[in-house]
Amino acid sequence: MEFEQTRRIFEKARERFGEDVSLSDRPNTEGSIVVEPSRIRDFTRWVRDEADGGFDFFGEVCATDFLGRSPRFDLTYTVYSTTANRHLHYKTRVDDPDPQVDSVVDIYPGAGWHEREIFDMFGVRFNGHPDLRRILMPEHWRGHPLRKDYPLGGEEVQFSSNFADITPQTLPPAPGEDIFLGWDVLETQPSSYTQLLESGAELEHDGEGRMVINMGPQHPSTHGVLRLLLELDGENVVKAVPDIGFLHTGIEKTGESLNYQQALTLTDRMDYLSPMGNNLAFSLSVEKLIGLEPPERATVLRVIFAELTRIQSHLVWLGTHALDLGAMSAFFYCFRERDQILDMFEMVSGVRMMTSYICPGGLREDVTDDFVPALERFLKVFPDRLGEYETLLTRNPIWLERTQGVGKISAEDAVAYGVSGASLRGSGVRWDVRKAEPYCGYETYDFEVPVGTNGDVYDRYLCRIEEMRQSHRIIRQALSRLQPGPVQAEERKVVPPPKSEIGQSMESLIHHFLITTIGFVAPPGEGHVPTETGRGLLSFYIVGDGSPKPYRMRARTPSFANLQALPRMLEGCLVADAVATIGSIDIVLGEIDR
Amino acid sequence: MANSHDVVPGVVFSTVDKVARWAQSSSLWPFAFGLACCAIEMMSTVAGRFDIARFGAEVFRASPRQADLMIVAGRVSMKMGPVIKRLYDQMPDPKWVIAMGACSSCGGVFNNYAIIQGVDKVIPVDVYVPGCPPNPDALLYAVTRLQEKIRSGEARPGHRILEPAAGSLSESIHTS
Amino acid sequence: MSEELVTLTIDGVTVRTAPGTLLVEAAAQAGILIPVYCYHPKLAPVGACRMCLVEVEGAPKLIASCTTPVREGMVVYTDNQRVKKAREGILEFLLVHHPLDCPVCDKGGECPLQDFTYQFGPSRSRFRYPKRHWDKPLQIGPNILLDRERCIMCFRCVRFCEEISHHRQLGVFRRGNNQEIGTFPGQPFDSRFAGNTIELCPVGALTGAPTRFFGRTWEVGHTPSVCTGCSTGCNIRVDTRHGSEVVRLWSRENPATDDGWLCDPGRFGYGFVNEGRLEEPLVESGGQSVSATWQQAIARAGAVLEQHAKAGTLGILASPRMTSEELFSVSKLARTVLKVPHLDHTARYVHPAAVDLRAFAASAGFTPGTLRDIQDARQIITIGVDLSREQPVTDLRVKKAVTQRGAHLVVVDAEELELSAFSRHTVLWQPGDEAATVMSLANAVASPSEANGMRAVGELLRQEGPKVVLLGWRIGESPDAGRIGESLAALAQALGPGTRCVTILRHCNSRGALDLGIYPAEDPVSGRGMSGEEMLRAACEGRIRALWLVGEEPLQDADPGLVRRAMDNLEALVFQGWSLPSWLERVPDAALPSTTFAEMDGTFTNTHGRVQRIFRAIRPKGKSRPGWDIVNDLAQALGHPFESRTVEAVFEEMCAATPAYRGLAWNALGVAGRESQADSAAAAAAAAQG
Repeated sequence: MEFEQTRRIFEKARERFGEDVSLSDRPNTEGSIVVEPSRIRDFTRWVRDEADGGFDFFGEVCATDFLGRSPRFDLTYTVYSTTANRHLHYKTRVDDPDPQVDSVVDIYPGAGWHEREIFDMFGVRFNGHPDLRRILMPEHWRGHPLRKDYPLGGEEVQFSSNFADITPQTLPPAPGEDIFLGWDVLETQPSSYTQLLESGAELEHDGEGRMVINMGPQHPSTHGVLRLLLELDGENVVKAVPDIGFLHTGIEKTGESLNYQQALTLTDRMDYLSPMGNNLAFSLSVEKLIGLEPPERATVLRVIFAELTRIQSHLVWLGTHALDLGAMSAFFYCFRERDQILDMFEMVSGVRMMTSYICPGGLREDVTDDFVPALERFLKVFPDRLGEYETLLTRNPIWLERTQGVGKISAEDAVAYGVSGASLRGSGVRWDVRKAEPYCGYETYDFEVPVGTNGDVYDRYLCRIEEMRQSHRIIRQALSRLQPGPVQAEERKVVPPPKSEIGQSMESLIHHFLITTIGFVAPPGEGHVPTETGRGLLSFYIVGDGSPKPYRMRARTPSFANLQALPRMLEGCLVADAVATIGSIDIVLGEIDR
Repeated sequence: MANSHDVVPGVVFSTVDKVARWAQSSSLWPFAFGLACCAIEMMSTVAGRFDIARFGAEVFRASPRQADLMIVAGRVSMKMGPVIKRLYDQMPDPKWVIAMGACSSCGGVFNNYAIIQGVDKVIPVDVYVPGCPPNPDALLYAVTRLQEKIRSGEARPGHRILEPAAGSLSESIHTS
Repeated sequence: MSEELVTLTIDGVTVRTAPGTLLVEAAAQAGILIPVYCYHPKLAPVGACRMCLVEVEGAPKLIASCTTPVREGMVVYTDNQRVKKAREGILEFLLVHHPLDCPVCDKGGECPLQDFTYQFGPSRSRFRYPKRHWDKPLQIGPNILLDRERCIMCFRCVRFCEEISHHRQLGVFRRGNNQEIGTFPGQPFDSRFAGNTIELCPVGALTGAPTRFFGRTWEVGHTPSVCTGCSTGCNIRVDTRHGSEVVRLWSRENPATDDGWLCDPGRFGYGFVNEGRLEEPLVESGGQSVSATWQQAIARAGAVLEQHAKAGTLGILASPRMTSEELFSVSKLARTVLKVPHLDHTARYVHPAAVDLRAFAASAGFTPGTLRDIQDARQIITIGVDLSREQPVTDLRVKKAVTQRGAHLVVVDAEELELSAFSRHTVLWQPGDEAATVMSLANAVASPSEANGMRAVGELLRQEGPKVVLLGWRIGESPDAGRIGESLAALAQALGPGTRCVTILRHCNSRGALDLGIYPAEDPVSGRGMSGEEMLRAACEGRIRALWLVGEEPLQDADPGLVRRAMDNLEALVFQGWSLPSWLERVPDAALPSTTFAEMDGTFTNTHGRVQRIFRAIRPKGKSRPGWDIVNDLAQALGHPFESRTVEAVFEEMCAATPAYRGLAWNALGVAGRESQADSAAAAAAAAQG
C-alpha cells in the first residue's frame, strides 16, 4: 500500500474523527493512522464498513513496547480488504501503568486471539474482551515476556573454561524458574483444564449427558502439541476450546536480541514446513525497511523456492492428513516427492530443512550447477505423481465419507476470523496475497487461484491439490526466465562483500567484518510485507531503531489465525471429524506458538 | 530379567539376560510424539527412503503405555516440560530416551525464558543427537547406538538433577 | 548570560553555545555526530586527521571542525555531498596502507576506523597496489607494542605524552608516506601512564603487552568497578571473558577521582585475580596444609580465635584492600564477639598516634578536601608524599593544574621528586627533622620577616587563592611524629582558614579502614589495643600467641626480619585472603580463601572519603567467598550469628553504625559513588583527639 493511499484514507478519517486521528509517517513505511485509544472501536467499525470501501479481513494487532517513551505501547492493527486488494495499518498508543484499550473482538472476531496474545506478552488489557486470559504462557506465569524490561532469560552456556563452574545446581535462576515447578506442576497447579471445568466460564456443561474430554497436547492427529478441550454430547462436539502455547519458543524475544541475519535463522524454525517461505517474508520486510531491491535472478529464484516450499509443505500436509484418516500409502508417496525437494534444498543451502537461504539482499549464495537439472527432473515427474495421490484419494469413497460436509465454515465466518490460505479459499473466497498484493513479481506469472464452494474438509483438500499444480506451473515459468546474474544486491552496507575481495581490499574487509560480527544497520522505521505461504497470510512486522538488531520482530502467522476458527468448524461435528478438520486447516504449532 | 538377589547370577541367567536385551534392542517401539521441526525429520526417517523399519523400530505407538522409546523431537517449552515428564512416567519399564536435535539436547538456539535448556532437566536421556534438525541418518545412527547400549547392558543414566553424582553415562554422537 | 552565547546553525539546527567552543563540540551538543580521530576532548586540537571536515558557508574550502571555534551566525553543514565526498576521500587515504588485520586485531569490533568506514566510507577499494609494510609489532616499552602499519597518524599518543603525562617519550619521525610514531633512539616507552595511549589509539596500532589478544570485543563483558592499586579510587571498567576471567581493565571517567586516566600499575595489575589463587579452604594437619571443607576450616579457625581471644593473646590484622563490608564484619566480630582490642590494618607506623593520618590532619585545623579540589587550587603543597609513585593519577591532576592553569606547587619532602620539576619550590627535610622543617615553613608563611631561607616560599604561599595540602604517610613514619602535629597546626593556621587538606593514604580502602575504626582504640575494659607493629613485637615476646591475618597487606611494609620472628613465635595463625603470601613460611592453622574485588559486590572508600561501589564481574574462583560471608560463618561458629546475610544488609548496618557513612544508601551509590560525610567524620575524629 502506498503512502498516498493511506493519506487519502486519513483525510476522510479526519473529516469524521477530527483531531482524534493523526498521520504517522515514520520513514520507509506506508504510513499509518494513529487513533486516540478512546475512539478505537468507532474507528475500527468505520474502517471495516466505510473507509475506502471497507477492510473486511482482520490481519493482526501487534504491540511494540517503546520503553521509556510515553505513551509506552504502540498497538498496530493491520486490516486487509479481500475485495479491493489492499491493507491498512492503524495504531493506537497506550501508556503505563495499567495499559488498557477497548477490545474490537465484536467488530472483528479474528482479533480475539491476537488481543489475548498482547495481554499475555505485554500486559495490555482489552476491555470488553470475552475471554481475556493468557494464551501462550502457562497461566501461572509471572510477567509479560515481550516487554522490553523483561529479561531474555536462558542459562549461561557451558564452555570448557567454565564447565566446572556451571553445574545444574548452580545455574542462575531463569526468570521462569520459580514458575516452572518441574514435573509436579500438573498435580499441584490447577491446569487451565480443571480451571475451565470449575469456573464453567468457557464450557457450559449442564450435566445432562455431556462430558469434557481432553485431546492433546500429545495426540498423534494434532500435528504437534495442540491441546483441545472438547465438550461432547454423545459423539457430537458441542464446543471446542484450543489450548496453545506448548511450543512457545520465545522466537520474537530472541529475534530482538539478535541481529538481522541471525534473526533470520529463527524464522526457519517457526513454520518448519515452509522455511523458505518464512525466510522470504522476513527478508522482504527487512528489505522494505532498508529500501533494498534484490537483483532479478534472486527474485526469480525466490519464486522458485517459495513455490517448491509450498509444494513440499502441502505434501507433508497431504501425507499426514491422509494418515490421520487411515490412508497409510499416501504418506509414503508424499514423502518420496518431498525428499526430492529437500535434496534440492540441501544442494543449495547445505541442509534439508533449516535453510536460511533467502536472506535480506537476495540469496545466501547462487544455486549450484546441478540444481537446475534436478529441478527439471522433479518438474517432469511431479504432475504424474500428483495424479497418483489423486487416484488414491479424490474419488475414494472412504475419503469422501470422511471429508465431505465435515468441518464446514462459511465464507463470511472465515473472513471475519482472519482465516487465510487454502482454508479460506476452500470456502469460496478468492483471496491470495500473491494475486492481491503481489510481491517478487507474482503479478507477471500466469497462474490460477483455486477456490472451493462448500468450505468443508474436502474442498480445502481439493484447493491444496490444485495449488500444487499451480505452483508447478509457476516454477516452470520462473525456470524459463532464469538468467545468469548476481543473486545479492549491490549494497555493500547490507550485503557483505565477496570473500575473494577481503584478502586485498581494506574497505571490503571492514565491511565484511562488521556485517558478519555486528550486523548491518537498518534505519529507524517499520517494514511490513504480506506474503502467501502454504498456510496463508504470513507477514513480519519489523521495527528498526538504527541498530543492527530489530527493535521489534513480530510474525503474523497464518496458522495462529486459522486455528482460531477451528472451534467454529467443529461445532456440531463428530469427535472423529475433529481429527479430519484439524488436518484440513494444516496447522503448524511452531508458528502458532512461536 | 535376573533381579533375584538371593541367587548368584550364573550362566543361565546371563544368557537369558542377553537374549532379553537382544529382543529389546531389536524391536524398539517408539512413542509417536513430535514436538517441533525435528518431528518432521523423524517422520522422514519412518518414510520409505530412510526406512527405520530396517532397524526394527518402525512401530510408532500413539500411547505411552505401548512404547519403550521416547524420541524427544523438538524444543521443550516450560509449558510442555511437565507434560513430557508425565508421558515418560506413563511409559512402562524398560524405557529409553533419545534427545533428538539441539533443542532437546541443550536448548539449541533458544536460550531464553521459554525453553527448557535440555530435556535432560526433566527426564533422563540415553542418546543425544546433534543437529538442527539432525538428518534422518543421524537419527538412525542414534537408534543403532541405543541398540548397542541396550545389548551391552549398560546401566541407565541417573537422573541428572536428582542424582548429579552418578555422572552422565549418556553419550553424544556426531555426524559429519 | 544569554548575551554571551554564540548562535550558529548546524545542519539546520540552531545551536547556542559558549564562545570558544569548537565546532565539533557544538555539533555534539546538538546531537550531530562528526567523525573524528585526532580530536580528543582532553587533548589540544591539532587538526591532523582531516576526518572532521565540514562545510561552512562563506568559507571557500572545507574546514576542520576540531580546530575551528564557533562564530556568531555561522552556517555549518556536516552531511552534504561535499562533506560526504571529503570523508570518503579521507577514509580511502587512511585505508590505503592499512593492513588487512581486522581478523587478528585487538581493536576489531570497537574500532572507530571500522565504524566510520562502515558509516561514512567507501565500500570498495580503488587502491590495487602493494601496501607499505613495516616490521611489527615493535615492543616499544615494557607494556606497549606498536604496529606502525595500523597507525593513522592522529598523534593522540604523542600529544598525551607531551600534554598530559609530560613524559616525552614518543615522537613523530620522518615525513609523508614514511611518517611513523616512535620512541627516541635507545629510549623505551616506559612511562607509568603508557597504558592510556592504548585507550586513546583509535586503531589497533598501540596494544598492551599484558592484554593483547584478550578475546574478541563482542564476547567480552563489561562491569563497572574501582581500581584497587592505590587509594585514588580510579573508576575502571573490568572486561571479562566467559564470566570467569578478567582480561583487561579500562578507564571509566569520574571527575571526582580519576579525571579519565589510569596508571599502568593499576591498569595491568589485575593478575592476582586470575593467577595463584587460594581456591579452597586449607587446614593444618601433621605440619602440612591439607584441603578441607568450609565447615572444617571455619570450625578450626573459630576454635583458634576463641581460645586465644579468651586468653587475650589474639591479634587481628585486617587488610586495607578489603571492601568496607568485609572490614566492618571483621571489626564487628573482633569488637563484639571476640572482644579483642588488638586490631589494626597496617603494621607500619612507628608512632601509634599517626596511624590515623586523617584525624591527624583534621586536628591540625585543615578543612578536609577532595582530590577534585586540586583542579581549582592556586597553591598546591605536597608534604611527605611522592604522588608520582603513590598516586600516579593524582600526579596527573597536579601536573594539569600547574601546566594548564599555572597553579603553584611546593613540594616538601626528603628528596627531589619527579614533581619537583613542576614545582616553584622544593623544601627538603633531613630524616628526623620533619617536624622542624614543617614548622619553619609555617613560620615563613606566617611572618614575612622570618628569614630562615624560606622567604620566597613564604611569599608565594601568602598569595590569595584556594590552597590544597596533600599530606602523605611519610610524616607519620617519622620518629618525632608526635611533634609534627603542632607543626601542621601552625602551618594550617599560617595558610589560613579554608585551606583544604587531602591525606594520601596507601591502599584502596585505607580510608575505609580508618572510617570503620580498624586501628587500636581505647577500650574501657581491656585498655588500649596494640598497633600492628606492636603486635608483631609482642608476638616475638610471646604476649601475642595467635594472629588472625586478613590479607597480607598489613605486613607488606613491616620489617621482614620482625615479621619472620613473629611468625616463628606464633602458636597459631589463621589466614584469610585470595592467595597465600610467598613469604609465609609457616603453615597456617586454617587458610580461608576470599574473593577479590572482581568477584564480589561491595564498596571502597577512596583517600578523600568517596564511597564507591564495585560490582561482581566474574564468578568466584574455586570455593572462595566474600570476606563478610566468611566472617558471618565464623560468627555463627562462635555462637553469635550475625543478622545481615547479604552484602546490601551489611552495608546498611555499616552505614548505620559509622558516623561518616550515615545517610548513604546502597542503591543510591550508582556507578560513580558518593562522598561520605567527611566533615562530620573529621570533626568527630578531632573531638576524639581532644
